[in-house]
Amino acid sequence: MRKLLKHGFKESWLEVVILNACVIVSSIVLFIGIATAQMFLLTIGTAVFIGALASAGVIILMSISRSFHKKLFTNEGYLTLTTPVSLDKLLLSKIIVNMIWIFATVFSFAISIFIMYAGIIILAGPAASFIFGVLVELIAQNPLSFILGIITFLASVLFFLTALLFIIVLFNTGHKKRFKILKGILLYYAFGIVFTMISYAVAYFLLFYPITRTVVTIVIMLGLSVAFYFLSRFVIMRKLELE
Amino acid sequence: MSNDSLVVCNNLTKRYGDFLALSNVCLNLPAGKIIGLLGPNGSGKTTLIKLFVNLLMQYDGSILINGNKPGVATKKIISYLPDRNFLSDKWSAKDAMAYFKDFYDDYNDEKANRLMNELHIDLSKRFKALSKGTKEKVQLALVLSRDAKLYLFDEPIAGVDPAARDYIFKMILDNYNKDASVILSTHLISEAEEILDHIVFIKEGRVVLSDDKQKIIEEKGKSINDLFREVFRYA
Repeated sequence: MRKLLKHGFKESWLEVVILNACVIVSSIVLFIGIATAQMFLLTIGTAVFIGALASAGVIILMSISRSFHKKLFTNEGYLTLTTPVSLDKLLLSKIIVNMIWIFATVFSFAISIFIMYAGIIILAGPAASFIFGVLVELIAQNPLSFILGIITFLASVLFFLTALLFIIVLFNTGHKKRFKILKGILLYYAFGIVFTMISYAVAYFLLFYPITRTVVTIVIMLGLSVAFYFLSRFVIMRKLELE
Repeated sequence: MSNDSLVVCNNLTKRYGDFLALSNVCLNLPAGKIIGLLGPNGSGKTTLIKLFVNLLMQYDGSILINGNKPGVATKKIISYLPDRNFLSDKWSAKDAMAYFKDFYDDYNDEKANRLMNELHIDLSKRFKALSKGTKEKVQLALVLSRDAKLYLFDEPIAGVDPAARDYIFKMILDNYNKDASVILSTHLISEAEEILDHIVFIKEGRVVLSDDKQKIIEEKGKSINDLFREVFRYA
């Protein structure tokens, strides 16, 4: 597993590191622009930051799709799938690598917001730091909600990755491979709609029990993630036919 | 399974939807031999090899390689050269060597470096910058760099000129682990005949002949190439 992770990171680090570097650097530029009230730096920093924000989703999605699709279902699959490691280790290593890249990207955006906010504090004085106080107070008052929020985020990332894996697997196995991107997008939206309906149903029945509602949603997401993983594994074992 | 068999298949059947690619294949391939898997295009050679390397995991019947079903244990002892480029275009030969070093216990780094050197491969150049022929050479060198128990070459000489074919055969013969078996799939019989010890004819998904080359030649009184033309004659 260690070697699979090493090669997984080695394959995909470049675009993610460039993206995160753009986010951090642009936030530092914005910090200086805000703290010194320089319009030129503000303009450049904002443009790069918004650009990074807008492209983050696309870059991450492309990186994930490539790691699942290219390594398993194109000619490169001839090497990947004949490497002496189990299919579980192969799939799990890809999920772990992509999860870490998503966390790293979210973390770098969070850090960048703090950096920019520090610029506002310098410009407006210590009084502007009250938001930090409010935030800390909210967490202190309700630590369980905060922890559940983090777990919900982790579960939703896992759900997203396993759903994407399943869709990619589904449209790369068997003989009928036409319009696979279009079919993949449609299926992803279909999964999204079904999951939203389930979430609304949970919210409706557990309207006055927010903690239970969150826990149930987490359990559903984790359950679906496990289901998507095993379905992907099953389809690969039964239907994989590399061209 | 006899003691000297490396690959044993019993009633092996593979379907792609309604299409029957292999039908009740029974094979007993000896260890330490160079085996020719011979048949025209579409006869089922690649399907059989894909089953051996576990690229196709769904089949009926049984396959045993060195006593194991295709899986992690067999992948450790099989060195496989597919009929296409399987290396990432983003990689260089150095990256590919690092991958082989990490995942294959039988990978011989010294041998790989020697072969790359003999083939004048620029180790740091990315594959997308290399010609098709050079990529094929790198792949062949990597596969031969392993001291494997079974080498599987799927159409290694298809699409190359006659001079290159001789060179590829020479490279295989000079560099494969001499205790190992080699399965070489091809439809170019005359070029391959000389180096083979054991012959398997595969026709429309069925094994129609599997025996020692000399025995076949003595019994049939003709060369493998002539016999191939007779067996696979178009109506």
